[in-house]
Amino acid sequence: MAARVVITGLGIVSPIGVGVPTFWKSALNGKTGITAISSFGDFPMESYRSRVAGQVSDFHLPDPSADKFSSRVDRYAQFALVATREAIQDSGLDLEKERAERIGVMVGVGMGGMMMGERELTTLYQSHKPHRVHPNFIPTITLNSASGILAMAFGAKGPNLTISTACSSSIHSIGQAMQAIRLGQTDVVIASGADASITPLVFAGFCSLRALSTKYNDHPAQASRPFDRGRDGFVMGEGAGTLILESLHHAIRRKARIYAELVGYAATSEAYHMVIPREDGSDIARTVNLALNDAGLPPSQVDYVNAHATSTVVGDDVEVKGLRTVFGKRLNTIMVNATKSLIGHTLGAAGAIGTIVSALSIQTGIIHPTVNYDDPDPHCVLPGLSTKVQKKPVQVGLVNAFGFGSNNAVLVLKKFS
Amino acid sequence: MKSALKKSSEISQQVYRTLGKYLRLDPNALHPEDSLRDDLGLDSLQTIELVYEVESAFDLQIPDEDFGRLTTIGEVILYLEERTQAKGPSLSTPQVTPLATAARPTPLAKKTKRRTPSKKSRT
Repeated sequence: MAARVVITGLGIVSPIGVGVPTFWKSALNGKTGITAISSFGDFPMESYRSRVAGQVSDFHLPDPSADKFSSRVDRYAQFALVATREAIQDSGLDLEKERAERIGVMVGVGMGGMMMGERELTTLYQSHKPHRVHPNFIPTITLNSASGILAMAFGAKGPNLTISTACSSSIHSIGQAMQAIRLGQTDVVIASGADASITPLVFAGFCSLRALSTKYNDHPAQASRPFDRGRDGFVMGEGAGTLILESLHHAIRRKARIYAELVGYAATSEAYHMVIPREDGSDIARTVNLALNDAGLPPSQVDYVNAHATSTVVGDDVEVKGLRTVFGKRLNTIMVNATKSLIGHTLGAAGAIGTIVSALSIQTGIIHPTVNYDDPDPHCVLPGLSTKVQKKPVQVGLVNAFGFGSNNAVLVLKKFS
Repeated sequence: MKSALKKSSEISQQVYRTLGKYLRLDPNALHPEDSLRDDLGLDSLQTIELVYEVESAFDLQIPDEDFGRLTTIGEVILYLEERTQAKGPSLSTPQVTPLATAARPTPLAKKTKRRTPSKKSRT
């Protein structure tokens, strides 16, 4: 019989707080982390169509003497390091007593080390001197630099994977971590997601794709408005989220506190389009149903959804269509929230942060508000979504994430009993 | 064909050339009433790419709110005429003339959909 998998530790770096207590307090207060981008160095901001983002402003590197890894990696991996250190402390794991070979690391990354990537590219193209490219360039931009550095920092010698599926990356890193524990390949997995790519080039790329909000440049706090009629694109965010997953047996043996049980996961492709979702939402519905089948739970038991909800016109509409296909009229009674309304879209970190939010909601019975849902889009009417805090026990929650490349992923969490 | 080219404004010629190159079509096969989505069969990403080519050709930026209104080739040309006139000396008088000499029958079934092509991404 497959091992049961539980969540025992959480850590976060986000635009509304570094550390879970700060993040959660901000989220429950409906605090938004979306602000105007002050500058991209020499690049004039007025030439960017979108000028708002969810940036992490109060992030401080640990003292390099205390953390010899953090100063040598890109910002996204620094976020992952800080979130993971918090998650391990939160879990109470004593790494010195654990078997290193039975601890895995799985990290979801959308863009990776773009800060250094862009810097070194500029150096080469401006100087025309190949020998000026930094020796740490390749180890830094290699997509598994975060999962590698986490293993070194915490001595985790089990399976070590990086999963990159754009915006759904860290639902897969958590889902694959769950599968590895279920199969008995490992006892504990550091499951993380991280991205920090609010950089001149990446931001320009998303602007050119016309995927970002541009109407609210003068009112940044209103720019991320999932399901609202006035939404006009997503807002880029940055951050990291880490969850400590372990087998129930392992958690009970060390008397760990359990936030929630991870009971279902599904991964599908729409095989449709690089950036456009299938318009009837049928593949989203299929993914949700597969995840519920994996959990052995009927749709009637779901009482909460942490929606993908990026605030794009079509994306939000299609997600609601998919959910309605699965839940029918019952969707009106399911609590829904959109974490991206507060922090923007953190790309590779989004799934992990959504899962942390869901675990906290299951543990506390409190659902954070969704801001800017002022004028509900008639296609996105969700009676269970509120601009205020909701207090109601959550037994079963879904976390959705859909990524470029026709990629869908859904997790199912359940109150542990 | 040459007379047709002369009839069109410099701007429309450049638009037809840019579109023809992007679409790998003879510019003469394109008409002002062609809907980017319904007649040319472009999805939202392709429409964004095509308008990007136009922006590059004319060295200007088309804001999202304007981009959403550009659903036919003629609308793109008119928009550029207006923008370049507003910017400075006009390149030509505003006109929307197809490159092809023969008038094209108005498609009956193709005029129904005019969907805003922007912000379709899933992200």
